[in-house]
Amino acid sequence: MINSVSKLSRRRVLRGIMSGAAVTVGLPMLDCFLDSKGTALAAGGAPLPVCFGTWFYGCGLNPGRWEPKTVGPNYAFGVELQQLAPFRNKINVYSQMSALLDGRPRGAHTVGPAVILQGTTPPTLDHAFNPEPSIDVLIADVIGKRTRFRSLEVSCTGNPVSTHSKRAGTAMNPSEISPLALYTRIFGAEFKDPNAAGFTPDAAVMARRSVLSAVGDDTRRLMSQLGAADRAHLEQYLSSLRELEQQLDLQLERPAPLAACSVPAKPGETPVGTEVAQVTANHRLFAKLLAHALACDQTRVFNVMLTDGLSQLRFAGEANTQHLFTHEDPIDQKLGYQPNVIRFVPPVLENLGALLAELDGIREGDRTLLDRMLVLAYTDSGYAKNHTTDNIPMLTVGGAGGRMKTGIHFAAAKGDPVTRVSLTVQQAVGLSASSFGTESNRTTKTITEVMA
Amino acid sequence: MINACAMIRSRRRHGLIALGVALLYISPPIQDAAAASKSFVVGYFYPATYYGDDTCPKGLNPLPDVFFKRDLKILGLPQADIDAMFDKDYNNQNGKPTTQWVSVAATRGNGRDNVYLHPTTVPDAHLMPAVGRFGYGFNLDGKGAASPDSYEDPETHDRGVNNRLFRAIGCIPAYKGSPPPQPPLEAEYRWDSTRMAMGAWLITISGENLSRDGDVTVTFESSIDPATTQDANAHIQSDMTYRVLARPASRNVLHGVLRNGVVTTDPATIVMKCDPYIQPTFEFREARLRLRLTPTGRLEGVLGGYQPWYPIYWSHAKVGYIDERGFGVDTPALYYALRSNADAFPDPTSGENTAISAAYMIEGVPAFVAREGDAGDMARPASPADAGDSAPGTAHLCATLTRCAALLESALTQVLWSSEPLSPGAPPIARRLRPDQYRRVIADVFGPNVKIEGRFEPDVRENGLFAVGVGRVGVTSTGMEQYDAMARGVAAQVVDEAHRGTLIPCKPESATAPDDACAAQFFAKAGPLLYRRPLAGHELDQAVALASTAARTLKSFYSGLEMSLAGMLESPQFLFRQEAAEPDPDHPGGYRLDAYSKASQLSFFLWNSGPDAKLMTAAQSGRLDSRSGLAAEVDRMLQSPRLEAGVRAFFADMLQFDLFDTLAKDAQIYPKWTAKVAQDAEEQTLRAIVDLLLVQRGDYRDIFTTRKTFLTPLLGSVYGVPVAQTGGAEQRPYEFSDGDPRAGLHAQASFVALHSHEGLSSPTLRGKALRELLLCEPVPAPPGNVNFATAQDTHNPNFKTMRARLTAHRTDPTCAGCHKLMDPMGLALENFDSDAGYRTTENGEPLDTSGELDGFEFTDAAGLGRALHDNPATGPCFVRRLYSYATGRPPARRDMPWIRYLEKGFAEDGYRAPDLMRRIATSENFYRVSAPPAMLASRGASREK
Repeated sequence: MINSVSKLSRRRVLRGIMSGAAVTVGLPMLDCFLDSKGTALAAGGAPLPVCFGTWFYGCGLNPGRWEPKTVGPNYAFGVELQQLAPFRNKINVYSQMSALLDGRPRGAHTVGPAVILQGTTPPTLDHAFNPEPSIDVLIADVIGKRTRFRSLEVSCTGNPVSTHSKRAGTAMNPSEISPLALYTRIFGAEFKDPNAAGFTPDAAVMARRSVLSAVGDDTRRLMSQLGAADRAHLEQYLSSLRELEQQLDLQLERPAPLAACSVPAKPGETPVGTEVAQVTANHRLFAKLLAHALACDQTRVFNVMLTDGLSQLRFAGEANTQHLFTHEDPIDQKLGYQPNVIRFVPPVLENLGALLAELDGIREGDRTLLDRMLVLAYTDSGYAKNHTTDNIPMLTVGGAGGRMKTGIHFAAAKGDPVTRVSLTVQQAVGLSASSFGTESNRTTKTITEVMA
Repeated sequence: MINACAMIRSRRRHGLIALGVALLYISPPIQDAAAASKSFVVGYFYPATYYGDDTCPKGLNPLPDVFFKRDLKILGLPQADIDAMFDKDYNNQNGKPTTQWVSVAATRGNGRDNVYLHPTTVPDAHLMPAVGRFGYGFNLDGKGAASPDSYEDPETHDRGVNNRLFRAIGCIPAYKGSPPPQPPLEAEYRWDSTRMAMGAWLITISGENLSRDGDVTVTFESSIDPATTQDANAHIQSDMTYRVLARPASRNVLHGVLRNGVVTTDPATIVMKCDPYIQPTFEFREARLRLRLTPTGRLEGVLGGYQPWYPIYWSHAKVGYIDERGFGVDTPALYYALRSNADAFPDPTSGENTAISAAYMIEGVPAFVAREGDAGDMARPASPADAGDSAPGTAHLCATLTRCAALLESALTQVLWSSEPLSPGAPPIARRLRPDQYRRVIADVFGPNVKIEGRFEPDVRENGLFAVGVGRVGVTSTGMEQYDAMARGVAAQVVDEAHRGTLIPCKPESATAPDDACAAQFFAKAGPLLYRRPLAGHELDQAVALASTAARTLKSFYSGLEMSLAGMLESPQFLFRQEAAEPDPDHPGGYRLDAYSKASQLSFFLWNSGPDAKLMTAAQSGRLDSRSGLAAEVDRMLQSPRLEAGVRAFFADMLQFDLFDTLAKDAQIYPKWTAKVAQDAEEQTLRAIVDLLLVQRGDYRDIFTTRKTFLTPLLGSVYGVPVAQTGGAEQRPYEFSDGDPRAGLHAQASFVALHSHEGLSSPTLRGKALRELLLCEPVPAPPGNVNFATAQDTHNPNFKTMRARLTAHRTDPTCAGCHKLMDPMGLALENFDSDAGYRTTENGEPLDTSGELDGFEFTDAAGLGRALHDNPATGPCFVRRLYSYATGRPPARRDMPWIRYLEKGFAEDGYRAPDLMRRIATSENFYRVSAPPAMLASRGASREK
């Protein structure tokens, strides 16, 4: 057996640092700061880092009612997107994109998100076992390494398992369901205000850091004794442990000042549920917290689940949920749509508008936080009534720090996979991905029409 | 104070609006057309004050700021002084007056006497009376419209209504009525605060047939139980049970007549005891009641009669200044108003009237009345054995020596001579501790007082069980963050001043420096319990070294220990149940779990926690590797009270009780459903299962047919059956009567409410759950691109019952295939609404609860229970679930011979669950491992036994 203690090299380095107790540690600056005029700039005049967010809502929109009539710039929203009118110039609309099934069973309300985020139709109906990582995780692996939180996930309907963010099949990043809990995670005792004067590395954090390093060494030793499946699970454990170590490393560094960073008001305990008012109230609180977390560079990636694919959204006192209505509400022959279903569209999109308003409300010099980020708003189906995955409405909002043109409607050729948007999004936030997806959903074609 | 009241008021108003307008009839009783008796608990009882345009033509009476100032002038104080005092002592006190101010206000008549005891020290301020056309009540004096100062009742339009109380107080802001009738502010606040301090008021209407006109008896009486339970909308919970003593504090038995849905009682004296402080007694002479049921089943009514006026005054005066300031009732002025409006029962000496005509509004919700000694209506204990409140014992599993010997012998026989097929086993797996296991291990090691704060990463259910999914998961970064927070929280508590004395076996030489010897003592004790195996030498060294380094950095022995312990709690060695294998001497070339992994396998299976000291000793001594030693340990564990926790954990997993975490119901549609109801529902089922399987040693299949269960008073309210509050344990044994459809687990709230929508029942979800969870028959997911339009007739979209809607849906052949697996079972449960409330109609249409399961036809939920009991898949499904739960793997082809053997044994044992647990736990198959030898070698070397 190898003598474990002799291998704890990293830990020894830190131990060496710590034995000098209160010495000031020379630490690298983060890659951004404000210039003398208060314009948001990073070292060398580069812009502030790009951020990414996903925003999901279940049961889609209604075909024919949301698509702009014209393609390219200066499009006009279809009636169902009117709630987003104030942000039209920052929104790209993608229509006619499909999630292709490849002959696999269609998990109603789950296959769309799986293809958009993971590029793959799940091998079985149990989408939990789709092996591919989701794009938010791929993106966070690149842009989220220097922040306390690799990414933040929230669910507005009280269900922590409601998440599309996956490292691999069963490794889901669970969602936070309580705004208060999210506040405490981000802005609680461990928050280091980047604009605070003075900085002393916390000895307790140093001690924790060295303990975690030993746990990691132990785990690696243990892994050599395991079968392949268990080894994979411990790999995942290890990479999570590494992220935790990185969080601690960041706490040992002086954070770079960020002019737009401020701590939002602490939310109270809020009831969770699937009723429209409850969902909206919690979403508003989450939106504010996430915007401030980005402005304070605590994370650069977030994932919001407004509702589940099988949306249980409902109006108070009504028996039917949004999902049940999509299947049970008859089409009004005069109007040509399901009148009860479209009642859900305004409250859903008002919530998206509220998030955009929070992001756009944080001014960084002459631009806003929204300008340096990219939000992918997506849903599960093109027509929830029939579970179709053709023409799934997709939106991106924000200029990704100038890498993305905005205010454009892109209509795909029929049968183009939704993964083209997924690939475009990855490139826009700086990933070097050249293809995305598997089988029919594999694409190498970026949507050049929207790339700056 | 005012603000708090306003809040209460607005909440109530909201709810009342939702109830809609009350109609003047008794709706046909929902459950039983010929019900002979209906009971209600009174939620509010308050002076009936009408308010219309002409009620207070001169406006409302003044509020305290005006009447206090007015009265202070009597004392001869200059206006400037009054204003100054008022601003200083009254306005600027954030609602809290100074003592000085209170004493001035309380003696404002003559500067000496208490104005509340001596109201006449203040001259009559002449409160403005309520005039106008309408006022609630009765023509008490029989003079009809000619009766002086009388009103017309706004609902019955009877003339000559005598309600001088209304006249006296109807223009006081706190008593002002508002159409439709609302409890005035003061009455509402009073009842919301005093209801818990008094026995509830009950009204029972009984007669031959309450759906027809005729004579009825109305009993208005007191319970010994307060009406305190609130529903999801903060109203009084309906259908709760209230006990009434043989001689209650108050009881009025009245004759009445039911006509056109309204009950009116004959004049009589009515006396009701109220709360001991504010108004101990309400007394009405020549009183009558007018009662009606609203379409939603609530009771609304009016009580009218002559009431002694002084107690009304005193109920305000005794609260004195608080009442004046808080509710704005000018108390001396009230005295004069009541006294001058008194209109009956003159004092023989003075000739002054002692009583005032009055009318009170009554609001009630349905309730059960349990009469003391009236056992027939009440829950009866299922058996003498469980009448006590002690935890269900399992001692008589092996109650006598003979029985123990027999069991041991049978276990030996089974192993040595049975034809138990060999299972090839499976590779070792690392299973992440489930949240409840994490909690139990921490509690076992550090005691139950150590709190675990944090949110566990969600588990994944595979093949129906988390117990299988836990072998398929790692730890995500968010999960890691949470484990880190929990580990630090636990470690901080272990070393804190409150716990270190008991949890750390030694004291350091210095609290501010490392002490390796003491740290080593601690980790040598805690380490093996956390890792569930002895620590290797280097592991102990490392834990001590980490504690030492951190202690130096942080200049604290305990902080150092805390850091190192937190590391141990974050280690995969703790978070995962790691299995280690060794060559199996009985089967050369084969492998088995090593003794410590075996101990963990056993204890997590039977107890849902880590091994105890005895089991660890058995592992260490090699006893666990012998058949007799294993059998002895298994029997010890099956007799331990910890078995109950294991059985509960298994059923909570199999029945997917994690769904309770996200279960919610629409508060407007299902006001009775609260978080407490959900907790009680989960406990009801688990308690009943433990009772049937462990205490009674019953047949597993009886969980579908048993009428014996455990209910709380709150669950009684949801199910609509009487469960009285008692001093003992909350869950009381209860037995549903023969013929009641509520037999079996599938009729309980933990099933029907769990598998429903938030505002709607769901035969499909329920049928699917029965198929998948209890018969192990997966139902295919709906196909893509279903055109639901075929299920809808757009010209007639309103199918009244779910059966009608689903029948329409099933006209599509692509849907029919799967729905016929689910719906015929689910529709038999349609008597149970989404909140498990009992119903016989849906949207006014009678429910058809007939159905069939695999050829077995039935007419209701109880029949479905019999069909499930006798279904050939029921026993085998339980075996497969228990096998998967124990081994952490789905039934594999290679294990089928063993599984079939277990199924056969289960049937032979009379479907006794503990016997099946013993069969699995004592089987070599349970510990057999198929593993590549290379792995084993390194694994073996890592152990330093």
